[in-house]
Formats: sequence, C-alpha cells, structure tokens
Amino acid sequence: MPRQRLRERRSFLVLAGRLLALLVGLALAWYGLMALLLAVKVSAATTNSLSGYRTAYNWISGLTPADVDGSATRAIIAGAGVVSFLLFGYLAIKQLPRPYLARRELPLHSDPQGELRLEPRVMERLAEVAANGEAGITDARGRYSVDNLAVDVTVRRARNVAPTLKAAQDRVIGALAEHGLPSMPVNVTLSSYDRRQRRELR
Amino acid sequence: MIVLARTLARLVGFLMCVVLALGGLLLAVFSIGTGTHGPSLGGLASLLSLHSVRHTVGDWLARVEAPGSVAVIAGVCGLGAIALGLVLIAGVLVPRRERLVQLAEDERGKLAARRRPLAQLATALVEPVRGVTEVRVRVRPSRRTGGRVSVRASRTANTDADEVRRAVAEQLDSLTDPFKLKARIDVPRRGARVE
Repeated sequence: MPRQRLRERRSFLVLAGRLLALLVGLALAWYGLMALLLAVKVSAATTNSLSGYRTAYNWISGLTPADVDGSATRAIIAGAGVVSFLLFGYLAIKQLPRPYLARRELPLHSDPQGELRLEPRVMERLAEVAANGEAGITDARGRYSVDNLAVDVTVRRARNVAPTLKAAQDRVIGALAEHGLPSMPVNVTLSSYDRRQRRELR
Repeated sequence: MIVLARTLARLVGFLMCVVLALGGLLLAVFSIGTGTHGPSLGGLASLLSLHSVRHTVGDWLARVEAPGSVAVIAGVCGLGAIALGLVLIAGVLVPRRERLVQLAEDERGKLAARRRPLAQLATALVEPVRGVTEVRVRVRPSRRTGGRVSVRASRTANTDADEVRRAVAEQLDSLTDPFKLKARIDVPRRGARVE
C-alpha cells in the first residue's frame, strides 16, 4: 500500500468560483432555451418578453462614445474596474490548487537544545499493533498524515462488523493516550474480509 | 461523468475569475481618456471592433427571428448551450459519489467500509440461509450517507419466496442497520433440474 498521499488545501473562497460557474451554467441553459425557441419560430416578442435579449441588444448597440465620456461615468467605470480586478484576481488565485504531501514527521517538542520528532512509521506501527489486538481483526495497516491517522483493517467475522470497527478505533485512541502522543482523529476503514474464515453458522 | 462535470465547473469558475479580473483592469485603464482614440472607452470599442460584432449579432438575430423554416444551426447551438449549462449546473450542485460507505463520524474520527468487503460480508451472511443456493451482492454508496445493497439470492424450487426474503433481510440486519444501507432483495427460483 503506498503510504504517501497528496492532499489539497482548499479555501472556502473556492465556493465563489463555483457560484460563478453556476451562474454561467444557468445563463447558458436559459439563453440556449431562448435560441431554441427562436429557432423553432416562437415569436420574437414572446421570447424577448421572457428573456429581454432584444431589449439588451438594442440598449448595448445604441451606446455611443458620448454616453461614456463624462468624467463621473468614467470614474465610476474605472472604480468598478479596479475593484473587479482586485476582487476577481484574488478569487482566481484562491481557485488554484495547493497540493502538499500529507505524510510527514510529527513534531513533539522543541527547545534551544534540539527538537523531538516522530517518524510517521512509528505512529502507523502503533496504530497497527493496537488495532490488531482486537479479536475480530486479522490485519491492520496504518497511514499517518498531518490531520489524521487512517487505519485499514481486515475482519475475520461477518457479524458485528460495526462494533469491531468501533472497538479498533477505541484501541488506537487508547494507545495514543497511553504513549503520551497527541490525540487526533482516527479513521478506521474496513478494507477487506478474511474469506479463509468466512464460515458462519446460523 | 460527474467527476468530469465537476472538473469542468472548477475550470470554468477559475477562467471566469481571470476573465472578470482582466476585463476590470482593461476597463479601468481605458477610462483614462475620452473620445475614440488612445486609452478611452471609445478607443477600446474600436480596438475590439465592437461595431462589426454589433452588425454580426444583429444580422444573426434578424435571421433567426424572421418567419420561415426552422433555423437548424441555431437550434443545434441552443441545444448545445442547454446541455453545457446543465453539465455545469450538475458539476456545481451534484456531490461526488462516495467510494466508502460511512458508519459514523465525530471528532474522534470516521468509521467506514469499502464496497467490496461489505459485499463479501453480505454474501457470507446470506449464504447459510436455508433454501438459498447462490448469492450475488452489490453495494453502492449513495452521494450523501449510507447506500444500497442489492442482493440476488437464488432459491430452490420448493422454498417459499417470502420466507427466504424475510430470512435474508434478517441476516443482513447486522450490516444494513449500522451502515444505513437500504437492502434490495431478489429471490429468483433457480432453474436447476434434478435428473
């Protein structure tokens, strides 16, 4: 099992990009429908009353340089342009993915004399040994990353899977506390079933 | 499919931000002067040949609005725009299907299961039911929580379908209840002949 994982840091401002994509999608669907209505010869007046496409076109095509040459108008347009540049530029930067390697050393202590760090494999082995101690589990594989400790387990019995997973999680959390390690979310995943012992008597 | 739609929506969101930012900058720069030359809004309109765009769009609208036969190309373009719009909307609103069936989540962590071992567990639970000869199980996580487990348990000719279905459901309880799985159980009669 490759233990390293590439994760992505996400900003909540990604939602702004999603909102823009949603607006584009809605506009495309709506005006696509209007184009379809015009193509099948629904009257232009009806289509315009629904969408205002002709009104908007007439207004925009009627603009002349004199309409936008006033100093107040230009100041408003320039201000809106600058705000738009800053706002959407910042949002565009926030949309860019920022991947990082999630499996790294766990810093425990630091002072002028040195640092105390734990290799990720130590955490993983601790979790594996703790989870393997549960009776219903035949194998466990750990994967430590900066924000959680994932444990993939193999169970030997088809019954009581949920209590077995819960017990494995409790054991790993208990082992972390027992060794004085910082607590963190422990994600336990059922990854396989040991079919050699699958006989279930009813 | 939904993964592609989500990627497209993400790309469009990013491109829209870039286009709006650059458009804003362009407008700000071209608001410096007046008239139709130099860095003015009239100059920007000339630079972008907006007058020819106006004629092109006006002609196209007039042709589409004119009475006569159905405008096939415009119709196809409209359908394409609708399809693309719906893909974008789906890419934003529809969540990705989970690969894991989740059991619980709290500050202590998550408990979950992969599909294949869950299906194997369900098979192991159903196989011992009296009258069942063959079992096929499929687990499908839902987009939110839980999922669906489809069980096809072939039964012998002399067993009662309702009885087998009830027994299978009973066997699956220990799996379906904690994992919030909806069980769909088919109990077809096996067509084997005894000679």
